[in-house]
Amino acid sequence: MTEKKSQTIRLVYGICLSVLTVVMAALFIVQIWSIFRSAEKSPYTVELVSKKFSQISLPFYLWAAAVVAGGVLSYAFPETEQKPKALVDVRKTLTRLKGRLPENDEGMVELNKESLVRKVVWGACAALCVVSVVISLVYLLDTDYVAQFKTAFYQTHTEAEKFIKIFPWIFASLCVCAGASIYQSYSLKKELTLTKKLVAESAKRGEKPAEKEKKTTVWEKLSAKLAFLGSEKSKTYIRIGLAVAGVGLFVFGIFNGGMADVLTKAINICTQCIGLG
Amino acid sequence: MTKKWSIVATALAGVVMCGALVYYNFIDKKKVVEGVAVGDTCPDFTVDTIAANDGVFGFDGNEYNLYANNGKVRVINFWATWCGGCKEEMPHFNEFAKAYPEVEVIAICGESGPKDVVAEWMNTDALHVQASGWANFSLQFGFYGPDDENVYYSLGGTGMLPMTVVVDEDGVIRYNKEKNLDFEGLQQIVLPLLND
Amino acid sequence: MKKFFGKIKDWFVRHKPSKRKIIQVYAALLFNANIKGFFNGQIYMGATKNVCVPGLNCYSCPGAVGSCPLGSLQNALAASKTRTPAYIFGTLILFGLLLGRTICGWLCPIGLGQELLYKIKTPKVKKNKVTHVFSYLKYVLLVVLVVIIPLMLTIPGFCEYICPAGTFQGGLGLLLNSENWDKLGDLGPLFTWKFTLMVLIIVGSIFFFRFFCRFLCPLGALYGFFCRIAMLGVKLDKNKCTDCGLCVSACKMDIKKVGDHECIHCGACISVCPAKAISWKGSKLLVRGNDADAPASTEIKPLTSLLKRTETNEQTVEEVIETSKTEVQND
Repeated sequence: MTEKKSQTIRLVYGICLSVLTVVMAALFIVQIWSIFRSAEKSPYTVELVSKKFSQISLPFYLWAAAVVAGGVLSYAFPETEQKPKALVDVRKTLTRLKGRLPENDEGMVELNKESLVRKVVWGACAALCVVSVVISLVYLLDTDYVAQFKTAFYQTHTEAEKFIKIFPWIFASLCVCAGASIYQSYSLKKELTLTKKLVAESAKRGEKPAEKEKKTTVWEKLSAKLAFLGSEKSKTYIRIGLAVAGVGLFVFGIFNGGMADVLTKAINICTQCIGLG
Repeated sequence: MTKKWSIVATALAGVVMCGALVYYNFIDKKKVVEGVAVGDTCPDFTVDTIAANDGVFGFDGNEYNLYANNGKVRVINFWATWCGGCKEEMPHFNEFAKAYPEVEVIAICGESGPKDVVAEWMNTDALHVQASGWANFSLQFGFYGPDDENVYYSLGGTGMLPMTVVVDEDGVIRYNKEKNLDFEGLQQIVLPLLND
Repeated sequence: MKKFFGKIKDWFVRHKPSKRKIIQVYAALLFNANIKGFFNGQIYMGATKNVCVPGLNCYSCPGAVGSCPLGSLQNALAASKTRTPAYIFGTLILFGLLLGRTICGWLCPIGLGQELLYKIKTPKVKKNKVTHVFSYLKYVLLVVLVVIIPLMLTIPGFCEYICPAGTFQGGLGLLLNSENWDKLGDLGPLFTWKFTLMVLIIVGSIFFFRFFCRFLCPLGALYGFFCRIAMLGVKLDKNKCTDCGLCVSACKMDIKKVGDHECIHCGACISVCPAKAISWKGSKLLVRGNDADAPASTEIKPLTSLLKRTETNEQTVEEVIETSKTEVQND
């Protein structure tokens, strides 16, 4: 059995199992929603739940059998260990290569443009994130909205409205950040190929890299100042401080009634608070 | 040296695990109260009541005793200030108490801290309540503390809130479940008892 | 015949669970030692629930013998007007300081569940830039659902609307027992939503490594703040590190560096490092940190020897050293 054939069998099995898993999950979701929709009040009854779930019991057993088959298959056609690939740190390589370029090279214009575009993309992303955070906080911390609950007679989870309304903003910000991140890696790669080309050309022309003085950026100056925070001595102080604070708060909490409170809420559970509602 | 440590650690871990399993499953058998199912006689209890004087809740020093109210159908609801489901069903119990004044409805709140916390909460809390606040409720309020022998356990509470116990005129338990109830649900359970 | 048995024995030897897996199963069993609860449908109501377990384990699980730290945090914040939440803050600080995210990797039953689900042999979605960005979603959930919503609305937002541990351990654990079937009448839209979310998280855990841990768990987000100062965990010796990036590549979590806020200290990177720059900290339990001259990574202390066996195959390391040598030459 060649490696390639074994790989194909595993791939085909993997795809089939993935499809089965997704279908199985969809079936569970469909069944639970059909139970929920079956009646206006108290839709869940023992009879209905057992009926609906026994309808999907056969697909479930099939899926379970497929999972077990996967175990057997991986024994019969074992997978070779994937060795991890070493990552290329594009930024470091880029900085090093840029250092070899003579100053005021025409190619630098192109590179700076690329760098600028990246900064703009991240700036837009950051702006969207800030806007989302501000909107979310304004909405969540709005005490007038909270005060509306004073007048309502029976609340049916309208608190959920709060984060249903802010969630699209959060999700959009995350998607935009993901997009910016992908763009950055693409742009960095492009810049790297360009820089390599420029370095090769300038080496061909016999130009020597200029002696550039090492400019420390603001960021580097700041991190140098704050470096003491990461040192072992300050770590020790932070640890001791936190240990004292932790023990102090813990003991204070015992006398404060906090421990009894934890006990009470763990033994008289509010069933709605864990989602049975 | 290291082999010895790992043997000691494994042995200790094994002892802890066996000890835990034996303790929790065989030795610890508290708080499973028998004899409080439907059809049994409800055990007596006394709780401090919280009443509203001029719209301000406080402990007036009175108590509610179950047996003292024999001859009436009693609905005993257990709730807590931090239990959303309990607070949501409270208006339904209030409506029921208003509609059927011949039924004693008492809502007993459990709290781990000092009992003033509950009264203070009822005076200041604004969420999940009627527009006019808690003071205009028609039902009675009681309080129980966290000790082992409190009324929630003695009436068969297994740890879930809210819990409702319905006791008929003779003191026999007719309903004892840890689930939510609304106005119709209460009617279904209590009205047949009134017509007996 | 003998060959057949030999093959079976071989399979068992090759698939022996790692020490970490054994400790995870041990912890899951210890924190849910009240097995009788599953049979009589009742939660445990005794005194050990005064203490929080380090990982995520819903206190509504019939087997749970300790309180959930996240649930207790939300309840304490909800009650913060009447009582300062000192106890739970102290507990979380001590857990974070002593263990940090080693709790995630070694002591959390939900983490164990996800790793077992990941073993199902489907094609997997490898980590990438998108998953790294979405790993910050758990911080959003921490701020919104665990801090703001309990403070503003006095309800435990994460427990009530998201936590799959509650649905699985509490919901299914309680409802599948016939004693609790009258509770079914209370179920409505909230349970339906949580059940759907639980199914989606289970499917996600089959395709993504630790889907819930990486994207949704606020407790992991909280413990991540202690990543530098925790006393136990994985540490990188910067003097030996050659920046080859093999550790980050081999890690299945969305880390940028070994031991950062995403690292669950599973130790899979240790055997991959060709320069042997990664080791376990905590061999000196006193707060004396790494001295530059002390040979910290080569000393064998009792604790580190217990934690020595890691997960990747020995064979890979030689191949990896070869490839990294050629990479360095080509640079």
